Amino acid sequence: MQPVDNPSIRIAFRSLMSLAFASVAVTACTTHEYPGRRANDAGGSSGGSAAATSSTSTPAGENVTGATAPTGPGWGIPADGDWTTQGRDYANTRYSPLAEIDTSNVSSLRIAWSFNDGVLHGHEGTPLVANNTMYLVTPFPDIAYALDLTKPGAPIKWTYRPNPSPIAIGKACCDVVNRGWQLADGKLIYNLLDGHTVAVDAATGKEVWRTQVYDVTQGVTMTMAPVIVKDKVLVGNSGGEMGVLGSLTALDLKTGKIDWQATSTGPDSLVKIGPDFKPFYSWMQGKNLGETTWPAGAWKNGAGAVWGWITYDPDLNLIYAGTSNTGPWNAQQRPGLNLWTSGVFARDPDNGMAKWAFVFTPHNEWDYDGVNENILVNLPINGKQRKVMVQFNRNGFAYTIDRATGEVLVASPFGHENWASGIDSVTKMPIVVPEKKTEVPGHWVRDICPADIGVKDEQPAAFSPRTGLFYVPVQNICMDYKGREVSYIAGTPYWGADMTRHVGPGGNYGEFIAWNASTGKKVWGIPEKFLVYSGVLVTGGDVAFYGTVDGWFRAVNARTGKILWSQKLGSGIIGAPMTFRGPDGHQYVSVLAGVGGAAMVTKAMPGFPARGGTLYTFALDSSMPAQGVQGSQSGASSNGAQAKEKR
Amino acid sequence: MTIHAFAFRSAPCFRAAAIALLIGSVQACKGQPELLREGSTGGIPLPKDSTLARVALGDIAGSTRNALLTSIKNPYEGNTGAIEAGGELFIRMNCVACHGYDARGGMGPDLTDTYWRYGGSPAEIYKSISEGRPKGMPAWGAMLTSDELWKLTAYVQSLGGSFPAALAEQGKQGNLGATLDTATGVLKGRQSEP
Amino acid sequence: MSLPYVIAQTRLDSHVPSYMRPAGAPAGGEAMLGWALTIIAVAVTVVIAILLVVAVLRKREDPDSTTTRNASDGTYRVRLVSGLSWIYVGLAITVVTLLGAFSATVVSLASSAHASSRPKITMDITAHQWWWEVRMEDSVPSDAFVTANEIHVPVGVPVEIRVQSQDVIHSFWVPELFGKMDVIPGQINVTWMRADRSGTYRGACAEYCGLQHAHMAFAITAEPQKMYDRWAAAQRATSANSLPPNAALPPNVLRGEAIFVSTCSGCHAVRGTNALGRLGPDLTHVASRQTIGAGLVDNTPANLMRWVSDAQAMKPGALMPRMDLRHDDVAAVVSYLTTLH
Repeated sequence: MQPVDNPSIRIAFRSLMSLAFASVAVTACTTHEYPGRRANDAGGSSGGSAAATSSTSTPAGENVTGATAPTGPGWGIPADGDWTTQGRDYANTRYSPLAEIDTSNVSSLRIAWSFNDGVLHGHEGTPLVANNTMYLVTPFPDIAYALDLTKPGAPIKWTYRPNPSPIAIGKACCDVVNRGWQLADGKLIYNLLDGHTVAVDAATGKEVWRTQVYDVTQGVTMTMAPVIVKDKVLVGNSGGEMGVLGSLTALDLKTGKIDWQATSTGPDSLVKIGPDFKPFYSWMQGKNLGETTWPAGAWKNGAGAVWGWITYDPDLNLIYAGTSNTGPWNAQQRPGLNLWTSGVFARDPDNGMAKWAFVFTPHNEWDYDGVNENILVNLPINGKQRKVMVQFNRNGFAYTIDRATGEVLVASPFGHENWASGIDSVTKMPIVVPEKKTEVPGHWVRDICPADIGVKDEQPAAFSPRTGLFYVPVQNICMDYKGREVSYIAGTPYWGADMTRHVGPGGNYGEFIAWNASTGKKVWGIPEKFLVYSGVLVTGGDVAFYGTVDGWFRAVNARTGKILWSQKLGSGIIGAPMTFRGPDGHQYVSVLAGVGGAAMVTKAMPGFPARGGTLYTFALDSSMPAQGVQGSQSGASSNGAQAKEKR
Repeated sequence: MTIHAFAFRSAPCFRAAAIALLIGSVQACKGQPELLREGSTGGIPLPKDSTLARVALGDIAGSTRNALLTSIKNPYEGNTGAIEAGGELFIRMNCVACHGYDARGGMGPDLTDTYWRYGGSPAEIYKSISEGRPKGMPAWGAMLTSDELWKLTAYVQSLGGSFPAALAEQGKQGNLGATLDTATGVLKGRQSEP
Repeated sequence: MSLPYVIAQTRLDSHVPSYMRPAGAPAGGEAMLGWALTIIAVAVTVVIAILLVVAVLRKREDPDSTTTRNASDGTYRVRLVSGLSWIYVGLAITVVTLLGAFSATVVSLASSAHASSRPKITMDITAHQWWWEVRMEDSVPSDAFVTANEIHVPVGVPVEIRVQSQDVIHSFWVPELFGKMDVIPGQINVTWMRADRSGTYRGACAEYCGLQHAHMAFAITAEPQKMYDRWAAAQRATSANSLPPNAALPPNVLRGEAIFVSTCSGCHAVRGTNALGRLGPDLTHVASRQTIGAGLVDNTPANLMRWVSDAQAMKPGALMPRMDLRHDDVAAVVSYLTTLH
């Protein structure tokens, strides 16, 4: 995590943006090019004409045969047209089978309606749809909106204002984001920045319960998307830069009462390590390693916050949750392997007991968190079908791991990195390049790639069972780094690093790639001038959607990597797109545009967009809801309702 | 273990060199301790807390101008040794993590521009540090002595942010006029390269 | 330093450290070398003095006895004095002695530069203006611990010492145990020691480092392994009254802890509490130390009261500021500190 601009004091409402956009949208599907862009990508978005896309009937690109997404009743897969959890299913594939929008017609996508939530902070997360209602939560102050999809323009059905503590603004390291909300048991469940979890009645917007899980005055915040497994709500904390004690907490779905809590560091009793804990590699085996691999007591402020994505395998009854960077960044102050930060745990969701763990970056000297999503798929590896999880780690390596045992099957770089020369074949520890170690006291270490935000940050990748490929947003960013001695002062950052960042080789900050996780190889890539900090959606129509930090929303042929359609939105895109079937039976695609979060590390780039907070929903030109006369007529009453809501 | 009654009286001399390390020079002995004012160290008189308490956070009802904004001076303003010591505190007390090593902001606000919600006169800066502010700025009054707080204030003043105390009233009115560089939001000629 | 002074010093009270009275290595080898060179120097001086006296006392020979007149041409020829060949003898002795002393010096310094056996203990010393931070390393990271100014070591065990500076140049020296090792900012210098006798050995900063250079003392206590282990275990432990708050403690102590954590934690650490500052000395076991202020005064409650309320009066220029605390708050903090054994 890293500091970013937090201009909470510069609020400027831009409520007329959506109006202005309607006219722009029709003509905006034009090519945009910049130096460094791959030649064969340039033609993809020429004009808005559907004819140009007829070339997408090209021979299929590389497929991974035998790669499948897990299916079955326990995997939390919603009805085809719905999207009820952030990752769409427990495996976090972000794959929707909807196929009305496909490679042949995606170029005729148009904006159907938009919604401005009035909050100018980073908009991460994915809108959810169930029962013809769309659910949306803003960044701090974490306001929830339900939008009625049955009415033209999707007016507000209800609004829920939790009024979290403003102190949280100054305790959140990297903008005051909310990374996701979930629907379960008729409730909308999400975390507030100030350390609370709330459950709201999805039908009425009334608060059902609110639980304080963490203490914001100690610098602990919450930004992650809860995951509901059986009768438990699983939540984790943020604050890897604040010297927090990272933990994963299970709340009761009905009451919100805390059921169990497992820390990321400390003695086995706190970490919830028992006799059943069997890490695959010997260096992670032993008693109380979460305590003994630290200077005495340092584990209490060693971070390992659980601020990322949680996935769940109902067949193995295991949840997978990563742990954040090690605190403080200055590794000189914490000799030892610093377990279990910068790693991942497989735990029993019923009691939190750990089954196995794997630490990606032991004694992390570069802020490479381990919290990125672990996508659960079944892959052929060396001719054998394996149940695996795939994590595109901040440290630049993509790990394909046996999700039953924690054995690393494949680990190879998926972007530019120079801090490790490889992964040890026996221990699976990174082989660190000595010149890139940051422990040198008081000296600048130059050109470490990737920078703290990694080759990929929390923005989630997607997996298509149709192609067997992973679609991954990639960052190409490096840093100069100088460790500084730092004291832990509760409620202030526990950081200890001075740094500057710069673009990696090639001059493109971002790239969108397709990845074969069986072999650990990139299949194709689309370089982008700005960071690709959006999540990814891939559909049954073989279209992958992603956005850039300068506000381009793109549709790509999932088989060939050809850009089929691009639309410039009102702000940079750091949320994850989703798709749903509307009450009219047509397929829609939605994405939030509101730059912020870690993407702000590049805010000095010329052309970096201003803040925003708008949800855009797209439909095919042919299936565009009739919005002209009919919209304005019936809209009169709904506008009235809206006005009443806002007083 | 029993605690002895507090029977200690300050040594009459030597104390005046209190901040010698921080300001880089040995202070001469200034005489008897009772001559020192409240909260002072090394014989440099500091503004009294009771006076500071009358500095309001907002503008004053009835539109009275708050003369204290300009009359309360930072005894360390422009003192290079004190600014250096304040800069050291700025790092050591973790201010850098929110405001940046270059003070250009991050988790916390930029300290080099002129958009200062809680004011930029020495008394206002002092109070913001000492009392904390609602959006996450911790209160340092319990941990740092008033002497240290004034040194930190001197450092913050030296960054060139906000505007000089003489312009405090114009700043409040939004009348910085031609002195403001509207592209950067920084006062002209005050851009510093920390 | 003149010989009489050195001799006089070695007779002084045992609390005054002297490198001429070593209590371990490498000071022992260096002292032996020092003694050997001194003895040689003294012997040479004595021999030369005797020869000088002899030369003075001996009468000058009659010139006639050293010249012969050539009877045939009448010229004089100087007759070589047979004693002159002694010069060559003397030169040879000198060369052999100097070479011997030189090689003995080189060999002995080289051998004392490194421990004969692999050091079992590593301690990291960080010099600050004006105190010493001590970190006893351990192969198990959580068994390493941090203390200040007072170090214990087991007798007969070689200890590796790594020194670094937080600010300016200092020099780390315990005369009875090892020679000076300069402490240079941005660099880690390494030396070693082995105490052969139990006892407490005083050290000091041996490079002028500012106003309170003279008050930058430390002490190394050498004790049998068992006692050392007990000390290390006690230092390793987190504070006795760490979280959760121990209700059995007197209210004044608890109040002192609360004040300490809110007021002193920016600079000082008491492991087990939220006070984890690194600017000043670690106070987790401050009550186990003999002195405060780096050997400035004895660690008594009265001195702690003075120190906490106004350290500047006791050690002007030290980073510890004069605290804006009420007297009863100071008393509470001190009563808390005295529980930190």
